[in-house]
Amino acid sequence: MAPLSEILLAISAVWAIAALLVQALAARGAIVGPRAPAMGRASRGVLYGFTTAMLPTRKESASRHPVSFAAGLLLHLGVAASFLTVLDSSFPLPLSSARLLLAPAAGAGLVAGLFLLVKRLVTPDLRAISRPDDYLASLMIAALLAGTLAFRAGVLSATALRILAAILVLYLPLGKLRHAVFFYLARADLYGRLGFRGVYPPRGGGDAGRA
Amino acid sequence: MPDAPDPASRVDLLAALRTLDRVAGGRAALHAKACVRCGLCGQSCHFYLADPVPANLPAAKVEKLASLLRGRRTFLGRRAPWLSRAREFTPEALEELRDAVFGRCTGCGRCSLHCSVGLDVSSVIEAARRVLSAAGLTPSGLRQTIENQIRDGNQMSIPREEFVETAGWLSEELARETGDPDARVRVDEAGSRVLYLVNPREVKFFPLSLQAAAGVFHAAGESWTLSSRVYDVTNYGFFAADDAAATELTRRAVEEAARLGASEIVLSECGHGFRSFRWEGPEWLDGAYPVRVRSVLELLDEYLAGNRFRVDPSRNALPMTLHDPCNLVRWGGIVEPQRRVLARVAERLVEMTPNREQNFCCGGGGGLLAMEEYGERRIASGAIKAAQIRDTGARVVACPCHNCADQLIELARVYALDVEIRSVVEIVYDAIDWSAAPKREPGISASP
Repeated sequence: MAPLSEILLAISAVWAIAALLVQALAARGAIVGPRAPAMGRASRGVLYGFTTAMLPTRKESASRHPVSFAAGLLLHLGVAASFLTVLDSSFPLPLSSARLLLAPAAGAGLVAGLFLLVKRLVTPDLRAISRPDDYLASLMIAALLAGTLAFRAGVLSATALRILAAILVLYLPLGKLRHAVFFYLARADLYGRLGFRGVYPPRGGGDAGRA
Repeated sequence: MPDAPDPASRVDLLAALRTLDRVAGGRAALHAKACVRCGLCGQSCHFYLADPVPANLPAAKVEKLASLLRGRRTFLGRRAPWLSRAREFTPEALEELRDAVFGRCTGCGRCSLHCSVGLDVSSVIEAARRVLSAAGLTPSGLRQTIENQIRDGNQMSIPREEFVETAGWLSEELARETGDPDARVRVDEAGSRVLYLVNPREVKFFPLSLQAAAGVFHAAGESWTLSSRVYDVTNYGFFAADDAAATELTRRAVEEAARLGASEIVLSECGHGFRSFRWEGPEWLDGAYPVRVRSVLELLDEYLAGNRFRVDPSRNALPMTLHDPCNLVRWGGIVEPQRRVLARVAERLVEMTPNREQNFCCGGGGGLLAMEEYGERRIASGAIKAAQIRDTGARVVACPCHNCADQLIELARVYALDVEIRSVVEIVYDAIDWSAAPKREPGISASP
């Protein structure tokens, strides 16, 4: 029989998937086939949205905020490393020497996450638009990343790590962490629309003279 | 200063709530749920760049609607509103929403292209405006313009007689200028291939733009007409997200095209008119149109590519730049036709930085020009566009949107820009070499 922590993690995963599915289906009104004749292809717009449009040179949110952008990348890599570690603790993955990268990735993610949390706390504009959910989500992520580091260092049990992960996954559909799913839906919707209208991919020589 | 809050008794909370519930199942809710409030969107918003206060962050504007959605539709919002800052649906909350989505956003969508997630912010703004429209909280100037359109058939309430009279004297002018007595502004000519819709601003204040269009159509041998009853390309129902009004205005134009036997509706230079008619209209009418719909820019591009008349670019010798209206370019997909046209009819085109789909809003979009209460913000937010124009060193701004043109004219005055704002069709008209143009027989069309 599987350990209790694995059962808890499985239940939280089922809950998160079901809850996110319900939420995504609730927004299905967004997915309406356009009735106007097309000037481009939605699929090409979506492809552009998830490739070229993601490049730092294409997004002012990256090019004008390189430190925050880099921190965001590291944070998300760290979270991925943490979940790989959690999975690996129950079902050993064929990671071989890549396993050695999990702790540094989680560590870098933790530093980046704490940087972004402090930035949120000390930047007046960011503080103004933040809500308790933003801080709670950051702390939960930080706890998982720290737990991963501790687990890899042998000072935290797999059971404790799984419980940390389960708590995070339970909370995932309730607050800002749901962007893990809605990021893909929103981006696909926006760029699909712009692709259909012939805006993207750009036709007129491209980069439009960005500032 | 924004409007004083409407008395609670005048706010139709129930209708607004019903609309909010509908919104919760659509695109806006999807995008609102994806926001992580990273705040990186501010640098891409002309309102925030001009006045960097938290309320001008696109994320803050999204949050105004999202907090109401959470309060009504999410588990956490109902059980622990303090955690997600979910808000109750009150007249005060709606008043704040109104300030955010009418007074601090033109729905230009630039922030969406640069959002770290890819939120369609303007769809959230549109949904919020829909809720406010249902509540009866559309700003009065915008509401009045919609009422004019519905009641009088055009947003400026121009009487039909005045329209016909203007077309008459413009025809005389055109015949004199071209030396061709058949050159005229055609009105109510059934059987014409093209029904041309214009901005009433052209009829009322800038008739030379209408004359230029008539001249270009004449030079191209186009079979075209205006309708004296339905000629307004604008749709302020779109700005207010008043779907009933927007649908009615679209329906009238499509029916008028059928009545006159036109096979194509051509839209004058109007950003939101193009977007609403070309892209949103079929959604409102729940089906594709029985006629083709194009921007006049596409038609001009076709004329010039097909050598339908001869042009001399030296007649437009001053350095020129091109404004990219958000609804026409970023939301409309009309990006290159105007560039190809200007490359043929002007000697020197200097692009703004950034341009095309990356353009900055002029500040007058989203119906803001009709909302006097936000006039100061509108002019302040236009500082970005004014700087863009100044940096090109251009003396002429080609502006393929009459709404943007009004804003740019005001910006030129306020920010002391030494530029002339002109529509693309005016620039084309000026370049026509009439000595090489064939005399046209009445009603003869050179269209394929």
